[in-house]
Amino acid sequence: MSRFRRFAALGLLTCMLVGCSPDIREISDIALVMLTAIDYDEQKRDYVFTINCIDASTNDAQNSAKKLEWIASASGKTILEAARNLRSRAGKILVWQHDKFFLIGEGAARNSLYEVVDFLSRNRDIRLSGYLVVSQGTASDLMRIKSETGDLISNETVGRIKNEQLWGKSLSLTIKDVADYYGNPYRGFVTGKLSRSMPVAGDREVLFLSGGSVIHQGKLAGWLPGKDVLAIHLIIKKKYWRELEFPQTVPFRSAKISLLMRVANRSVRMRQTDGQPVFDVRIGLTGTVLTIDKQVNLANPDTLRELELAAGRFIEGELKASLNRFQQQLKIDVVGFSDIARKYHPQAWKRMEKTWSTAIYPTVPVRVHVDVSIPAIGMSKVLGGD
Amino acid sequence: MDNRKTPIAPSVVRNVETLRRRFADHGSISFHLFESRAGEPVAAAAYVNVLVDEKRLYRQLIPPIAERFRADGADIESVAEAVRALGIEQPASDMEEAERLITDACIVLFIEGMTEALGMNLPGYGRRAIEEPMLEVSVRGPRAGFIEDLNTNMGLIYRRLKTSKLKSKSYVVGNESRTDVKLLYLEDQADVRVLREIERRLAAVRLNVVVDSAQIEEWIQDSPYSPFSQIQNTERPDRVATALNQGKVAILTDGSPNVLLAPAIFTDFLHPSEDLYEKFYFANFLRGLRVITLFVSLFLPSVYIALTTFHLEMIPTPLMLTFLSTKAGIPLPTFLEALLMEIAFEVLREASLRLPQAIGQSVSIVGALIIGEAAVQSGIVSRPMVIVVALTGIASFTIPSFNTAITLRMLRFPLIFVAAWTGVLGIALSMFALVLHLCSLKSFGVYYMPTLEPKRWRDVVGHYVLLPIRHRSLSKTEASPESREGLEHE
Repeated sequence: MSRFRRFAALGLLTCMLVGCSPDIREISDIALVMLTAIDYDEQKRDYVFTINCIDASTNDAQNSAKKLEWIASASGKTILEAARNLRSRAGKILVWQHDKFFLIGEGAARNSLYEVVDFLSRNRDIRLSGYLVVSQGTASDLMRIKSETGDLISNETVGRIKNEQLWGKSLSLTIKDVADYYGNPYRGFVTGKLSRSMPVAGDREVLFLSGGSVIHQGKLAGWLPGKDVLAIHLIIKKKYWRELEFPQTVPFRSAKISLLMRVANRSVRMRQTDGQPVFDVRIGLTGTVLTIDKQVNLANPDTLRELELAAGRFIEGELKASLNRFQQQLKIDVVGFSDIARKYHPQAWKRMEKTWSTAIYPTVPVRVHVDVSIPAIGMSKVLGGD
Repeated sequence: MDNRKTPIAPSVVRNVETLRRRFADHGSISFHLFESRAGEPVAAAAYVNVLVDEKRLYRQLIPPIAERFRADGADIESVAEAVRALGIEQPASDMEEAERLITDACIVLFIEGMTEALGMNLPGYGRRAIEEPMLEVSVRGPRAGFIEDLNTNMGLIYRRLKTSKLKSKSYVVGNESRTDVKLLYLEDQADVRVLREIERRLAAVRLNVVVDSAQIEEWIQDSPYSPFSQIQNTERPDRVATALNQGKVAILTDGSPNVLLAPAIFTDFLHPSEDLYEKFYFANFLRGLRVITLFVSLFLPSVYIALTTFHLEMIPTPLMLTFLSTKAGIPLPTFLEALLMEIAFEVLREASLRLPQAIGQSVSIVGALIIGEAAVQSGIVSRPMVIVVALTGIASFTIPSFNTAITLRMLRFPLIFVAAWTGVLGIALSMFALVLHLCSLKSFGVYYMPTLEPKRWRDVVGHYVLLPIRHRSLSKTEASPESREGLEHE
């Protein structure tokens, strides 16, 4: 009985403690930050922090479909200061945990990307699974552009990132991946690029997530066109090519054939020939014929084989051109050859380490071999021909 | 207590006087005096007229006895012999015993010169017909349910187990009510030590009036302060037959349609007997569903509170956006919202239960409309909270044992408090404490949580999953050697 009494007393005590917790955040007291833009004002040497958020007061209980966005900016000498100054403007508790998208302005990316990434990865409110994308121009301006579909701009942007694997010409990295690549001085990396442009038959400028921004040694080093981003998609980590599906138009005889490609396998290896490193990139692709502008008898195994070889050679050419640009124009190891050398050839890497960026990487031979197989040609009569 | 016995006097008149004195102001005691041809009182029958079948008594019993006494040269021994032949054969050696027989719907016959009374059970009180149990309804399977009459209930069980191995022991519990309690078990199946323990505890029951088996249950269970029932109760004879075959002991109480089954383990309360009558795929699907609803009915409101007030990051963004819009303008904190709604739900449930069925249904419909729609429309309660409370309530109705469902509903409230205080951490700690408590419980030497029993895997699995009938072993509920030790020390 005494145990029971003690237990009952404990229960009553618990009842009184309800509401005492300082960690309580009621949903009606918060504002969800959905998108964050960080800019750097070079003249004032200030960071400008802009958020796009949704809060409960902008919606009413009767109409749950109505979601209004609130965009606000604040500046400060450091990013943290700017972020805290923003709180003075917010009527609610700002919650960053649902923010999936961080847009870094071109100025901030060129001058102090290091501080930005440091802030994002240190802050425990911010999820490392959020995407980090660099904007062409001022980020806060881009953030104020209305979405194309009428949905929340954050939802639309995250949807576009998810669609990247269906066309391959854009690649957005998460903060976690960026932080991982960041510490490596031998290589650079590519993340998404957000720009504004007039769409076909459009009446106002909209946001485009296309191409890539090259980051090297903590700063934005340049922009990449879509087809170079596709090459990076194919060569770097498996998680980027595993689900990738990209269209490729191949000139074949006098026709143009569009194939939808998927990556079946991929390997990047380093070997040493006469003490010099050589990289072998092998990619196995599976294609599905989608459009043909002239009749080609693909039912004939010889013709099909010919097409497979032609497609392979064509993609090889595209990849080589992209790799040449990375090596000779950018001179930044964006695909991570240095990681392969360091992991699998540590002895050789010790010799190469010092001159890797300046002398070795720009001239290292890279052999690219692409195997395309077209397992099915479909049943359309047009494909068969005579 | 006065234990002195009053002997039965050889004089019928004196015995009648003694009884009249004892039953003064009783109001229902009746006597019938038999006289000899000479007009002297030779015998007297005493009974409670509201308990016995008086019509049968005056048609079938009194005339032949009266005739015997009036016959010439009727000596007492031969009359007594004849009376015994009529079926009046329960002997009472003292007045206390005679009184017990009288109050137990017996006709007690006192014969001049005999210091022993003879009784015959002739019940004439109303009995409910055998109906389908109200709480343990099943789609398939037998429909019969126990009633308030002990003998009928015994009959229902004996009809299902036609074996001489079915043994019973009788007890009388309650100083004033003198309720008959029967203990039923299958020889060879029941664990002798568990049986002995139940007998010991039954003998130790100190109650004045026993009107339902629930009183006995509370008295004999291992941990009376635990919110969880450690003895199963059922209104279904088929369930009792199955349980006896599993080595359990059934305790039948006169006047109660609920038969107690011991020892019981936690999973017994989650599986209705209907599981055995369905295809095992379906039965297991339902068992899985019930495990989910068990957790839902216990934890859903508290998890909702914890997630929406402490761990906003754990809610998926689209859901968060919905919550954000539905919570706008709600004046109450989530905790109070949940508490109010849960209390309102319990009030509604209780109200509809206590009212006649037809009104009860309309109360629940009107109540649901008021709580669900009006509360949301007026902006006092958010829509997700209504869904959470409704889901929790419906989930608790899927638990077949009424006791367990109540326990879960009751435990939900402290969990709500803990969640509002410490979030998921508090819920995790509470769950830990709950599991510890469940694992520490024993029912007559058997661990309440079956996983702890070091048995063959099939037995352990058998407590959770219904195997196909060919592979189903008789997973006996018996005390394991280590848990038995508790019995010996008690």
